[in-house]
Amino acid sequence: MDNGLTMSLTGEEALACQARLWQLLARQAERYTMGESTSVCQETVQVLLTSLRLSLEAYFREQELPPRALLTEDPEQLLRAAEGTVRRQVRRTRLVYQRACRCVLQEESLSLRETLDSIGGFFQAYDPRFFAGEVPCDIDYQLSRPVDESLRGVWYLRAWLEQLVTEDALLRRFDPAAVRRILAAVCPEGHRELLVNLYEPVAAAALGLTLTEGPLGSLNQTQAGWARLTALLETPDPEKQRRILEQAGERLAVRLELGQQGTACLLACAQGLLPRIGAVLESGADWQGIFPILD
Amino acid sequence: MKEELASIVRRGDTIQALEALGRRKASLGLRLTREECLALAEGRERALTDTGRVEFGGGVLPALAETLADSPYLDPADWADTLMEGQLLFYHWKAEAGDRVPDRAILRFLRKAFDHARGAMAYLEGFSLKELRERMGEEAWTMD
Repeated sequence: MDNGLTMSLTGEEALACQARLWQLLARQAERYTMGESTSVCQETVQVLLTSLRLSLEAYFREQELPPRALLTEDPEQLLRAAEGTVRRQVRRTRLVYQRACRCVLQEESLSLRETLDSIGGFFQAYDPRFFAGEVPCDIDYQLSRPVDESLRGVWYLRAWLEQLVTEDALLRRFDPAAVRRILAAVCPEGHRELLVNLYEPVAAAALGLTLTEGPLGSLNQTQAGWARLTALLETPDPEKQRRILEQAGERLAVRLELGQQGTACLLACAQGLLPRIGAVLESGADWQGIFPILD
Repeated sequence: MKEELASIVRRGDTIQALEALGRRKASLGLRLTREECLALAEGRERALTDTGRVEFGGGVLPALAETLADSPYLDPADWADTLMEGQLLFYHWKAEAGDRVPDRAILRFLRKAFDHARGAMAYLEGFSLKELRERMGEEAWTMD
């Protein structure tokens, strides 16, 4: 029971909150079985408890209530209000989903299309009353960086979709034909059927061109650009390498007019390139896998 | 988590419910001593642990007792043992049937099976719920 609901409470208050939580859990179990069963299996109780905890925490956050509100508010009203908070979150997530469905270049990724299709079913299958912590859909498409794994249920899905929309915002800045050429170059096995993230190769190519001050629109590197990249990045100091990439990320974010999330995403992507850059430099500086020269 | 869940099973609630039951059924000669109530409460906790279930409140024993109390095959001298075996059977069958099958549907079947076995609860323990229902020609669960 160690969680956000009992944090910052005295020992006595924490115990009282825990007892109230059990009372609410018993009520939820009764609602779940429609009063037809005095017992439920442990797995179900665990899921009901997680759902209850997440809903209450979200409600307290939304209303800026302290954890001790668990003791002062009417239990039935509390359950209804917490459920209302989850339902509002579902509505907001549906709006983000509608934006995500307008993502460009979906035809370039089967897993993205299938994932968006499956998420469509989430809004029918999701149960905010009892299973707020579940994500009843299949999410196969790989984002450039994973969503916070401590998030659950609709909160996880919303963060996932927001990250997807953030990645899409960068892709929209480029000519689709150039994006397709980049994807084909870095994944010759066929990016459309594989679990390939669309954002990362494009962001990497754009970062490379920012480093070499090449023309951004084509996403195309040159032999001269490769030589420049090698000269720039071949340093025994990993911290210097990190700084070079970070500064390029910041310049690129300004140039592409990315928002705060888009900038953070681009900087994370730049940092993620460091091990690959190190490996390329060690093996003879063939940049084709990261900063490709397009045919 | 398991320990937390187990703590929900409150022995005091069970004993209180059983004592109230004993008062209601005294006229039928169905009495429970304090020790028997305690043993039943402990048996309930064991059965819940064994079947991986969590129960809120006083539990199913009062309803089980009401279900079996007027069976012509019930021997008042075996009342405590019958309840003990009955609750074990109930929780195993409940676990097998799933949370969505109402208690009263299982209790109704348990009573039918008890009468079918002429009060030999131990005989029923040899069967899974599915086997016994097939053997007794039961149809799908009725929820009323």
